Amino acid sequence: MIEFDPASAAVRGLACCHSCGRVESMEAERCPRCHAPLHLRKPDSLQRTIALAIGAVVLYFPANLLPVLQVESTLQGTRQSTIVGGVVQFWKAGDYPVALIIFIASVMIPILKILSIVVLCLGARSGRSPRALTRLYRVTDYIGRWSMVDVFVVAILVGVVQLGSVITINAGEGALAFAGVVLLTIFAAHSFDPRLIWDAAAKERRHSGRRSQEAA
Amino acid sequence: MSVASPDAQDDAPLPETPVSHPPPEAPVSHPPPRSRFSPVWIIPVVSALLGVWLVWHHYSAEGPEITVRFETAEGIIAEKTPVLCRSVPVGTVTRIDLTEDLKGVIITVDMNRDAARLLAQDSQIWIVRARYSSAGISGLGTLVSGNYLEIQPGVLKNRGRHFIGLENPPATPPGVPGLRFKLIAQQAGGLGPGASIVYKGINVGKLDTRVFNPESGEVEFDAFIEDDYARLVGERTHFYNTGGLDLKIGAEGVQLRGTLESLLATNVTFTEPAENHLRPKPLPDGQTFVLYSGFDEASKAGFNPTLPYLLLFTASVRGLSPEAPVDFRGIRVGTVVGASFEYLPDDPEHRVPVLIKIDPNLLLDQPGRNNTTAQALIAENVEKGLRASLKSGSLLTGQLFVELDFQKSAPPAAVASVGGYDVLPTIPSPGLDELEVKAGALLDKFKALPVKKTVDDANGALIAVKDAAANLDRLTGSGSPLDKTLRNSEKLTAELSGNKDIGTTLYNLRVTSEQLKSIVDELGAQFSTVGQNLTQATDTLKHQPWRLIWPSTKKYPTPSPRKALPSEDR
Repeated sequence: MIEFDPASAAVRGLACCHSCGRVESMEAERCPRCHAPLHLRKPDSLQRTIALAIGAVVLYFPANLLPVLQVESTLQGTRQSTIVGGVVQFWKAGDYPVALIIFIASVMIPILKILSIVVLCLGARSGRSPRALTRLYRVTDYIGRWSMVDVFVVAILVGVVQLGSVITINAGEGALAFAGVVLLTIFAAHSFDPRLIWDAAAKERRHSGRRSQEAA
Repeated sequence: MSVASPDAQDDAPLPETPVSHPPPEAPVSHPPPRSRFSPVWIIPVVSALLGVWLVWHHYSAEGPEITVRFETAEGIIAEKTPVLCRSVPVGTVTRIDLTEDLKGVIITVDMNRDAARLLAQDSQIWIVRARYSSAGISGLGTLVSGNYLEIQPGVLKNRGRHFIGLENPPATPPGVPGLRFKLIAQQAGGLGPGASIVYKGINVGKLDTRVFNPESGEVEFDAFIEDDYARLVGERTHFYNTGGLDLKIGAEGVQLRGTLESLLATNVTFTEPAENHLRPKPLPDGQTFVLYSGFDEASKAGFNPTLPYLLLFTASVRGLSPEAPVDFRGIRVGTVVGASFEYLPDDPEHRVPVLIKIDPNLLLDQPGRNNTTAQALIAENVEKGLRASLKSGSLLTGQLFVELDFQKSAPPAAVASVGGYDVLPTIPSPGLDELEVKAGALLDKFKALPVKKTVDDANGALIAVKDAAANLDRLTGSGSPLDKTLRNSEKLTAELSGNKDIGTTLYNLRVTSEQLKSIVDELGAQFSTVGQNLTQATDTLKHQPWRLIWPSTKKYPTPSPRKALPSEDR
C-alpha cells in the first residue's frame, strides 16, 4: 500500500522514533533510546484520524445545541446559554470583539479543523499539492489547543462564581460535548502522519512517470 | 491518542511488515492485506453515545413543557419566574405570549423532570402575588422575590399539558380530607374565598368560593372544614360572621363583642347545640347551612326559611313589616319577606301580595333541606283547611304577623301558582275584623244612649233642688212663718219667764206648735219632691255616667251587624 520514495530512509529500513526522534533500523522492534515502539509511519494513521474526526463531528452538534453555561440566580432565575446564544448576546450588547473572538474560537475553528483534517486525509490518498497540505497540517496542529478557551472559561466560571443563593454558575451539558469536540480534533490532528502526504505524492509521481514512460 | 496507545500498535499488524522482514536493501512494496478494523473506531461510537446521552440528559432534565392561560401576566417574567409547589421549585416560565384573540396570555413553563407527576388534568395553577383579602394579607414575600406561579397537584390520573390558570388561589383541593358544605348568606359581609372558619379561636377550615346566586338573591359559599374538626359540625350548627365589632348598649350595660383581629379580617365561626358536641361521625358532604350575619341572628334564628309563598290580602297590611314572624299556632315556622305590589303587579283586584318564606325543616320530621317534600306537605294541609291570616301581634304598636292555622269553615281551596309564586289561600283576618266589629258595636251602643234625656232629667232635678232650697229659705228666712214661730216661742218663753201666767203661755204654745206642725207638713211635702228628683238624677248618672261627658242631643241609629268580608280563597 505504501510506496516509499526510493530516496527515503524508509527504503533503507530506517525508521524515526516517534517519541525521541532517533533514527534506527527497523530490525529493532523498539527504540533503543526511549524504548518506544518503532514504526516507519504512524500506525493506522488515516483510519484513526478519520474515526476521531467523525467522533468530533458527532459531538459538535450537542456542543452547540446544548447550553454550556447555566446561571442560577435568585433575582434572575435560571438562565442557560449556548455558545451561539452567547455570541448573539455579546453581539447585541455591542461587544463585537468579544463576540467575534468567541465565534471564531468556539464555532469556526472546530469546523475548520475538522474540515482540514478531512482534506488532509483525502490529500494523503491522492498525493496532490503536498506542499499546501503540509502547511495546512502545521496550522491545524498549532491552532488546536486554542479552541479549549471556551472550556477553560466555563471551568473558571464554575469554579469561581459560587455565591450560594445569590448566583451560581454550573457547566451545562454542552460544555462536556464541546470539550470532547476539541479533544477529538486535537487527537485527530495528532494522529495524522504528514509523511503520508509525501508518500502519496511520491507514489503519484512514480505512477505518472510510469504512465509517461508507457505513453512514450 | 494514537501516540499514547502503544498497545494498539503492538496488536495491529504492522503495515510495514513487508518492509521490515526482508533485508533493508530490498525495496518491496506489496501491500499487506488489511482486513481488521482499528479499535480506534470505538472513539466515534463512544462520542456518538456520549452525544446522545448528553442530549437525552439535557432534555429529560427539562421535563415536560406546559402552557397556562391567564388573564394577565402581571409580574411574570420569562426565563425568571419560577413555578413552586409548596415552595419547592418545580419549573420555570420560559415564554409569555398573548393569546390569538388577545384576551389573555399563554405562559409556557418548563417543568422539571420529576415534576411530571404534579401535572394531573385537574392540577391548579395560579399566580401568587401580594394580596389583601378577607383571609388577611398574603404573599408579602412576593414583594421582594417577585410574583411566582404556584401549582397545586390534582388527583386525576390523566396528565395535562394545557391549563387554565386561576385568578385567585384555589379552593381546597379535592383530595384533601374534610367536610365540604355550602353556606348561604343574605350578605357577603366582607367574606370571600380564603376567609377562615374559626372555632373557639382556632382555624378549622376556610371558605373556598363565593358566588352570588341572582335567582335566590343569596350569596353562596363553598366551605371546607378540616377532617380533624369535621365532627364538630352537626345538622343544627349555626354559622355566623364574626367580622367587625358588635357594640350593644342595653339594660346590662355596654357589651362589646369582637377582637381587634376581627376588625382586620372577617371570619366565619359556628356554634353547635350542646347536646351533640362531637358527632360520632362527620356529616356527609354537600349539606347546606345558613350563614348568619352575627352572633345574635345565629342564636335567635334557629330556622332557615327558604320556601317562598305568596299571600294575597284584601285588607290593609299596615303594620306588617319585613322579618315579621309567620306562625303556626304560635310556633314560628317562617318569616315575612315583604309586602309589595311588585310581587304581583297586575292583579285586577289589587290584593296586597305578601311574600313569606317558610322553613321546611320545621315542618318535616327529619331535617334536611327538602323543599319538595315540604311543599307537598303544605299543599296537602291547605286542602285540609290550612289558611293564612293576618293577626295583631301588639295592640299598642299595631304590629301584625301572619298566622297559619286550620279553618274548619273555610271554603275549599288549594295552593295556586300566581306570578311565579305559590300562593297560600288566606282568610280575612278573624282577629282584627272581630276587634273592629266589637269596637264599632261598642261605639254604636254609646251613641244610642239617651244622653239628652238624662241630662234634661238631671237639669230638672237640679231646678227642683233649687226650688226646694228657695222654699226652704222662704220658710226659714226672716218674716217667714218659721221665723215668726221662733220669735213667738221666744216671746212666749220671755213671757213665761216674765209673768207666771202659765195658762196663757200654754195656750200660746199650743197655737204655736199647731202652726209649727203645719209648716213642717208643708216642708215635708216639698222635700219629698226634691228627693224624688235627686233619686232620678243619681240613677241616670249611676247607669249612664257618660252623659256627664257626652251631653249630645243627636239621635243615632241603632247599630247594624257589620258585613263580613268576602273570603279571599282562590
